[in-house]
Parts: sequence; C-alpha cells; structure tokens
Amino acid sequence: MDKFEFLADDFEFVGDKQDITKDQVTPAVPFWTDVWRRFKKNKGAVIGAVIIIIIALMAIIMPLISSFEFDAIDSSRANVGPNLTHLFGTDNFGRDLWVRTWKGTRVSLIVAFAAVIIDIVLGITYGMISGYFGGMVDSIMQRVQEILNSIPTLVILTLLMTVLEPSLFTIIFALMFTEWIGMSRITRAQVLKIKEEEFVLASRTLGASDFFIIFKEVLPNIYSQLIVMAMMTIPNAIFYEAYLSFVGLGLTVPQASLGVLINDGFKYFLSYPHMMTIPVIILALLMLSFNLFGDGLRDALDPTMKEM
Amino acid sequence: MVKSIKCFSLLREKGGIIMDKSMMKYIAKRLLISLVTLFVIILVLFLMLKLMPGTPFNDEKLSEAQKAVIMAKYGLDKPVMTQFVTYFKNMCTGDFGVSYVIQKDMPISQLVGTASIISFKLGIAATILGALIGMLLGIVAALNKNTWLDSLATVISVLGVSIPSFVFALLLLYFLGAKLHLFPTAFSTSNQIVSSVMPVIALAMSVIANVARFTRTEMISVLGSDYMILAEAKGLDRKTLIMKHALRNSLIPVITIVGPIMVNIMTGTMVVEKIFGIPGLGKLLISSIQQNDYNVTLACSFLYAFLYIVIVLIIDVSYGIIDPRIRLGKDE
Amino acid sequence: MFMEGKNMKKMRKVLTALVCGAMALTLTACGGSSTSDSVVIMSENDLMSLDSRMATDGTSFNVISAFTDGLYGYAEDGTLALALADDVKVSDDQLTYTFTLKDVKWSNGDAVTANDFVYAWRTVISKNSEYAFLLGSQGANIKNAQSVMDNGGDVTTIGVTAKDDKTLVVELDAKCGFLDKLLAFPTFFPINEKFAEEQGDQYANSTSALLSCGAFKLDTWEVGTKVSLSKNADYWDADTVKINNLTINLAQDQSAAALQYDNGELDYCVISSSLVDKYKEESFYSNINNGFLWYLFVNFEDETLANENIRKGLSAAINREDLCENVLKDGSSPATGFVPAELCKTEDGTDFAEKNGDLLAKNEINYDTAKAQEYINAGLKELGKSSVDITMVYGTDEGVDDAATYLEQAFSKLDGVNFKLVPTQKQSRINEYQEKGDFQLSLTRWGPDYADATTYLNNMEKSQWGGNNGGNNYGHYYNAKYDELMSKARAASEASERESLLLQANEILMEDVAIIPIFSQGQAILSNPSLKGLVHNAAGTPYIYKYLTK
Repeated sequence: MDKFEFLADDFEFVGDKQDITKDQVTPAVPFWTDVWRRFKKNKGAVIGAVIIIIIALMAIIMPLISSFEFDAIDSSRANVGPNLTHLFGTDNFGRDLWVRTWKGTRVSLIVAFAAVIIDIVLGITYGMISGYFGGMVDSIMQRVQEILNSIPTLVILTLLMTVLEPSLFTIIFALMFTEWIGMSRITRAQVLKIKEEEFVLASRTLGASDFFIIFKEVLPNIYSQLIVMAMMTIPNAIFYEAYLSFVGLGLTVPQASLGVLINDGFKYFLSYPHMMTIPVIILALLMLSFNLFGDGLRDALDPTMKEM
Repeated sequence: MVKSIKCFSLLREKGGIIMDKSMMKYIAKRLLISLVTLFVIILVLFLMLKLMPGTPFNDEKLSEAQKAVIMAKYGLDKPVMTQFVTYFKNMCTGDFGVSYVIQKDMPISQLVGTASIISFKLGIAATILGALIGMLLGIVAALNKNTWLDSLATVISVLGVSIPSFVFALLLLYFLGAKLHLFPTAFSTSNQIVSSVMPVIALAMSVIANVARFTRTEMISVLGSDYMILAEAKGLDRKTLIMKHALRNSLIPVITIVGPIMVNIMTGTMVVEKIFGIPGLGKLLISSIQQNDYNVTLACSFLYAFLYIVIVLIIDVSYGIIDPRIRLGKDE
Repeated sequence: MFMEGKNMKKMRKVLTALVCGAMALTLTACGGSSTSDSVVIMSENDLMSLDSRMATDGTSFNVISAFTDGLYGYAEDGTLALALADDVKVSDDQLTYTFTLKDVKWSNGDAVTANDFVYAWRTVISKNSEYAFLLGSQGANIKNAQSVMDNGGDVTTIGVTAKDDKTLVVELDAKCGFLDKLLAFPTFFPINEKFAEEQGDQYANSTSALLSCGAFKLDTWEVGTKVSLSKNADYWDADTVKINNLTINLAQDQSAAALQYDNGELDYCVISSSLVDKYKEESFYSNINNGFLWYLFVNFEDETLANENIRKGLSAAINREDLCENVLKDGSSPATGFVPAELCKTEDGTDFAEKNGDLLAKNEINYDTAKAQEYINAGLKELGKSSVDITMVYGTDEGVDDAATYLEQAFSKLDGVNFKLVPTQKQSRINEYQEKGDFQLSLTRWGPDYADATTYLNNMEKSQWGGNNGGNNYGHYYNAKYDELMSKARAASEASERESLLLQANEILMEDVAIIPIFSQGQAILSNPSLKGLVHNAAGTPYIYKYLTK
C-alpha cells in the first residue's frame, strides 16, 4: 500500500450532515404527462410536430380562401413561374398551383394517415400473431403473405376497376391489399427476437393469455423500430396513390394530390422545373416532419433508450 | 497459421451445431412448402388474368371471326382449367409459351430471359450499394445520436425516400449525363457497366434511406441494452465494444428488409427503366398487364414470386442460424 | 476513430472503385454521337414484330420498310413509285395486274422471286394476321381472299400466282382504287419461303432469322432498346442510299431523348407537349401531322346523347383552337370534320377535307359558348329534364390526359350538364365500355390505314355496328342516306363521281353530329438541321428512311 500524506487543505467542509440523507420524492405524475414533458424537451420532435400542424392547417384553409379555383383552366396564364399573383406559379393549363398544391396536400395527408393506420392495424397485428405463435400458424400466415405479395398490384387494380369507381375510398381500399406486408415482416422479425426473452417466459408462467403477452409484453418492447418504419412507408403510400390515379383507379382529373402533381410536373421538369420541385419540397418537408415527430414520439414513450 | 487452424476447427465445431439435423429438416420442409406456394401463386394468378377484361388481340381492325380464329390458334378458347393444365405441364418442361402482343410469337424464355438478366444485375448492384451506404449512414447516425451528424443522416434518409427514384434518375441524367458528360445518357448492352452507373445510383437512393433508418434504430436499441452496459462496465474500450458487439447484433436484422427491397427493385422500376432506355422487367410487366399478354405477365410474376420466396427462405434460415435466440421450427 | 474496421474497409474499397470507375468513364463516355454517315433516330414506341405479315404498329413498319422492299415503294417526294416491281400491266377491267420483277437478291444470295409474294400473302391469311383484312373486301379485294377468311378453305385459291420466277399475277374480285398504296404496305411484302420454313417458329425472332432485300441490312436488334442497320451495298437502288449506318432507338423516354439530342447523340426525336416551350424557338424544332384524328364517339342508344341539340351543345363547348395551340402545342390542329386534313387529295389536287371546308362552322357546332348553352337548354327542354348526367370514357394509357382534362373543364361549364370523366385503360375502353354500349361519350382516335377518305368514312356505316363484325361504329349511328352514298361510292366507276359521293357523305356526318371530332394529332419534332430526306406519311408506313442524307 502506498503511503499518502494528507495536507491541511485537501479536504473541504461540505455542510451539515442532515442534508445528505434528505429524501426527495417527486410528485406522482400520470404517464401521459410524463411522455408529453419528454416530448417537449426534444426540439426536433417539436419542430416536426409544428410543421405538420402548419401544413395541415394550410391544406385545410388555403383552398377555401384562395381566389383561384383548383380546376380553372385558363391557357393565357399557363406555365407561369412563382410570382406575386400565383405564389407557386401555374401549370400547363393555367391552373393556380398554390391552390392545387394545398388541395393535393389534403389528399396526401389523408392517404398518409390511412396508410399508417393500415400499417398498424393490419401489418403489426399480422406480424405479431405470425411471429409469436410460430409453427403452423406462422407458416400459413407467411405463405398467404407471400402469395398476396406475388400478384402484381396492377392486376389486382385492373380487376378492382371493373367493380369499383375511382375515389379516395377506392385508394384506401387498394392500399389495404399490399401496404401492410412490409410492416408485418419487420414486426415478425422483431417479435422473433423478443419472444424467447425471460420476461415473456415469466408472464407465461404466471398464466397470462397469449394475447395479453403479445400486446402488453412484446409490443411495448418493439414499437420503437415499428414507429420509425411506419413513418418510412408514408411516401410509398403517397406515390402508390399517384400510381393509382395514373392507372385510373385513384383520383380523377382534375383532382390533385402531391403524388399526382409530382407525376404531372415531372414531364415538364426540363422546361418549367417549378411544377415538380414545389410539390417535392412540400412532400420532403412533410416526410421530414413525420420522421422527426415519430422519433420524438418513440423517444418520449420509451425513456430506456440510452446514449452511448 | 495457428490462428487459421484454430478458426477452422472452431468452424467445424460450430458447423455441427448450426447445420444439425433439425435445421436440415426445417430447410427441407420449407422448400417443399415453397413449391406448393409457388403452385398456388401460379394458379391464382392464372385465374385472375383470365378474369381480366379484354383479350391480347384487340386491334380495332380485327373482326370477331378473325379474333376467334386467332384465339383458337393459341389455345385460348379452351376452358380455363384445361388451359391451366397445359400451361403448367409446359412450364415444367421449361416452355413458358410465346408473347402475343409485345413481341409477337417470340418465346417467353427469350423475351423475359434477356430482360430479367439485365434487371437482376442492376437490382443486385443497386441493393448492395444502397445497403452498404445505408448501413454506414445508419451506424454514423446512431453513434452520434442527436448531434448534427445524426440530423444530417436523417435528412438524407428522408430525402431518399420522399423523392421518387425517377426524379433522381432524371436529375442524374440531366446533370451528370447531359451537362457534365460523365456517363452515357442511355443504357447499352455493349457498354453495360459504364451505362449502368447512373441507373444504379438512382435506384439505390431509396434503399439507402430505408436501410439507414432501420440500422440507426437497431443500433440505438443495441447500444442501450444491458449487455452493452455490462461490457462497458467491464472496461472494454469503445472500439471493441462497437466492433465486436454492437455491429454484429444490429446488422443482422437488416437482412430482413434488404431481401424484399432487392426483389422489388429488380422487378418494379418502370419509369427509371424508361428514362435510361433499359429493356428490363418493369416495363415488360406493366405493358403485358395493360395489353393482356398473359404469358409475359405470368412469367414475370412467377419470376418475382420465385425470387421473393427464395430470398425470404434464405433470410429466415440465416436468421435462425446466426441468432440462436430464434427458434424457427416447432418446439425442439 | 471508431469508424475503422470492417465496414470502413468495405466502404473504402467501394469508394475507390467508384472513383476509379468514374475517371475511366469520363474518358470513354464520349457517347454514340452520330457522324456524317450515320443517323440515330428515336422512336417513342417499341416495335412489335419484324415479321412483315404480323406487324401492326408504326415502328415495326418503319423498320421493316427499311430492310425490305415491296412491289411499290415511296419516292423521295413521298409519292408512290414501283420498287421491286419493274413494270406493271393492268387488264382493261382493272381486275388483273401483272407485275414483272426486277433482279434483286435477298441477303443470303437467293433471288427475290414471284413465289416470295405468293407465299407471303398466303401465309398472311393462314397465320391469321391482324392485317389480313387488307387482302379482302375492305382492302385489295384479292380474289377469294375474303371468302377464304370468312369460311375457311384452301388459301392457295386466292388470286395471286407466280407465272414464273419474275412474273407475278394478281387477280381481284372487285376494283380497288388504291391498290398501289396497299402494295407499299409491309403486309404485302415478299418473304423467302425456303428460309422462312427453315426458321420455322424462330422466324423473325432475331436478326439471324430474317433476310433483307431493301435499302438497308438488318445488323443487330437489342429487343426493347434499339435496332441497327447498315447500307445494303447490293441494293437495286443503292446509289440513292446516302448513309451507311442507321440506328433506331426504341421506346425512348422523351425527356431523355431531348437530352440526347442536345448532346448530339440523336438526330431526330419526338418530344412531348411538355418540352415544346423549351425548344419551340429553335430552328431545329418543327411540327408534323401524325395522322390520327381524336374524336368523341356518341352513343346513339343513350337517351341523352341521342338528342341532337345536346350533341350540338357539347361540340360547341369545345374551344379547339385553344386546346391545340395553348395546351397541346405540338402542332395538333382543330378538326373540321371526320376526315382530317392532309389525308388525301381530290382529283383537282385540293385536300379532301379542305374541299368540304370547315364542316363544324357550316353546321354551327364550332366553338361558341353562348350557342352551346342555347343548344343544351333546347335539348334539356326536349328531354323534359332540368339537368343531365354525362360521362366520358377515356384511356389513361393513351397519352391524351391533357385533352381529357380540357374537355372536362369545357363541359363542366355548361349549365344543366353534370359531367364526369371515367378514366380507364384502352383495352377496357374498347372491349368493356364501347363494345357493350356502356358509355355516353368515349374519347377515341382513328388512324388511316391508307391514304383514302374511305378509311374513315367506312367506319360510320350500319354494317360497322360493333360486336359481330368487329366494326368501329360503336355509337350505333345510322343514316340510310349515308349508307346509300357509301355503297354508291364503292360501285362508282368514275373517280370524280366517287369523290363527290364521298364528299357528300362526309358532310352528312357533321350535319347529324354523328361523332364529335376534336383535333388532328400533331407531333413536335426535334430534327438535326443537316438531316434531310426523311419521308413522312400520315397513312401507311409512317417513316421511310431510304433517302436520308446528312
């Protein structure tokens, strides 16, 4: 043992001993207030949420107060770049793009919302059941998913067209066929990782039913990845909707959505880039906000995420 | 030298554990099931195609009598199940029929074969490039969580996903091809590698985005888990921690998404193909559905299904091998 | 740094490869810039078949006509001229044609013989080609052809025989005023029987399964990408062929093609309306008429559309000038009647459509919003309704979205009309909606098969009511006088008599508003100023490449 020599000024008087054993109990706070507090602290998430709200409000209000109609054709003012009368310029028919973009954002937001719901309700549930139960159930469910995935969507769409009329509802219905498959696979992979953990075993020993375990034990431990990937599927849904309109099953001319605007503007990219660039920017902004929001949500709901 | 002998014997040992009887049985069972699934897919698809409105011979100038004769010539007037049996029998011997519309009377094996080879090459290249860059991006983001690097990686990911691949394709074509003359402006089979660069980059963008986000989340979850804390407490330095523990555990799940992404890219990128003039599967599939060219649709879809099932099988098996926490079969 | 390790190594390798690759590419990426004796042309569509009997699309016709000749061909000014036929003798009753062939060889050394034509025409019918009808009563009227097609029978009985290797005798059931135009069409091209039989099922599936006897030889065919041809040194008219290499890019994207044109890698391309503004001031920009007439089928079995005032109102609501000049911008021109401009000429040299004049204006169904509303109101009163629902079917895969959008706007402005678009695919439009009569308006187009007014007018006869006959009169229009005029025209012996009957028939269509014509489609073209000699036809084979020079 080394010998240390203590000098007089090596120690400092800290204070009265009574303080050290003081016990502070923070007031009990409901779960959601806690979540909200954590969420607020995350600047990125708050910015994301704010942008989403702003865009949503613009989408609702702008078409109502604008002096231009979204479908008013007037070739004398076609192909105009952004200026003071037409904040986003006009398209090749002379329709005001400011109104069209915001009207289109409405549709895209609805589609995005629907896609997320479908992902959650169908995709996650399917994946969890398939992954948790394993065996025959898993086998059959996976094979069904493979079959559904292998039929080209265009075939399904064309057949749907003989029965349904193009409308927003049809779009959401078409989404239900294939949108959830990617999500279910990711969920299943996550479930497979978790299901052999001890806490699951413990729950089962205690007599919990399978569905209790799935939704109360497994799900809370895997949702972080799921939220992130659910957000990533939103642009897919939006472009799928644009593709549907292109095929004739989605929105009919002259209605617009961000995807349709991007598709239309693409043809004009070399002559009038503003027609495509603006919806792309709005979409990217929306996506960024959804992702930041999703990240923030995930971080707020799960405080165990530690930093390295 | 000594090291390699050690590795080798370790492998033999581990190999025994990995490829034991139950795993072999599992693989065999899956292969059998896959064949059945493929059969069901072809049957379902065949029936759906026959339900589609219209026929392959829809020239406005054909009379009904002529149409009937042409249909009979190709055996399309027989009952649906008879047609299916004939098709299936031929398929087993490698005869996928001929194209009715896209390239009249050209054997499918020739038409779809050449297109699929091109699409595969591009798809595999794009997936590998995208996955590598994506993983890198995701790792950087996770390790620097909540710093500007993380935000940058997030922004790149978001852009990669919200900007459609055909926009990237046109931008690349415009700037790198036309303005800067770095790459040829069209795909050509005589100059494949060079003319593939731009399409591959365009296709890889969304792969990068998805893989990056996924990797980041996995890595973050791994970095925060208990065994990492234990390892750190034990005194391992940062580098070993990440290399030996974190990376391995976060990268494995990435294969679950890379597989399906690869299959999708190989078969569904019509607009990018059109822009670069690539005679690939995307355009074939879409045109064949729109023009009722049944054999082409069947062949393309079959290819897609086959690939998808095979890749899913490989992923599931690899997952089971690599991650011993996962038991795939029934209880041992 | 923690970035070392296997991923970084991999990354480094990949990056290095990319950078090295990029450097190497910069040196080699000169691209295929065309030189003064080679021409690169862009085609918007893919070609469907190089078998002259089976092809039905313009691109296939263009390529086939480049490496194969027929009895007739086109001269540099676009008029018809004898090609493989050296001489033709016509009998007095105009039912027998005797052709003497030139001495021409196929690319494998075999001589082109009269039997090649006999074999080809017979197999057009026996293979049930979609264009076989051109040999029958709707086209050349080859003896027995129509009855063999309708009732089966021996295809060797059709009226084409080889008297000897160099003499071809063609017999007709009835006169055909435009036989020469038909014989320039690929369906009537010769095929080397021995070679074709040897190739069997593989015939025309690759360049080695085809023979050339035309201005160019077929060199390579990358399916779906491009076709390369080179000058045929043994061509009978080799002196007129001035370029050595011809490449046709297939199914190219228009934006990509425009960029290639800017780069000098392309000599000729078609661009879409969206790019017109970028190039329209340039000297190398031009418009051509691509021959298709876009119009609306009107369903006469539908109560609303059967009302003439409603039809008139709809027609008067369309501002065709605005549509063509400001929206389509590709040289499309407003339609003046069912027979489009520049299709064919009358005896005195004027254009057929011009001779009739603006039939829309004559019948007061050209653009006039006030009149349009008047018509609609009158129609509504007659129907006893305050408003009607009108739907229009159109195909989203037909590239006509702009016109559909414009029409939607135009019709929605009419008070009392609840207009709706029904988007679908071309297949469905024809086979589901039109064939079943399940439509009110349908946006459709018709392209001429040959340069004669009957290619349009034939469509509106009662015999063409869709369904059993595969006819194109889906709207079920019927006017006894019209049918009478048409059959009289068919039987007419004098060209001038025939012509006046057809002119009258064309007028009746617009008096009745049998269909609502909209525009005659144009195309915006970027063409290398030094490229000359490209022959363009509105009917038949779209492009003849034989006379290209640079």
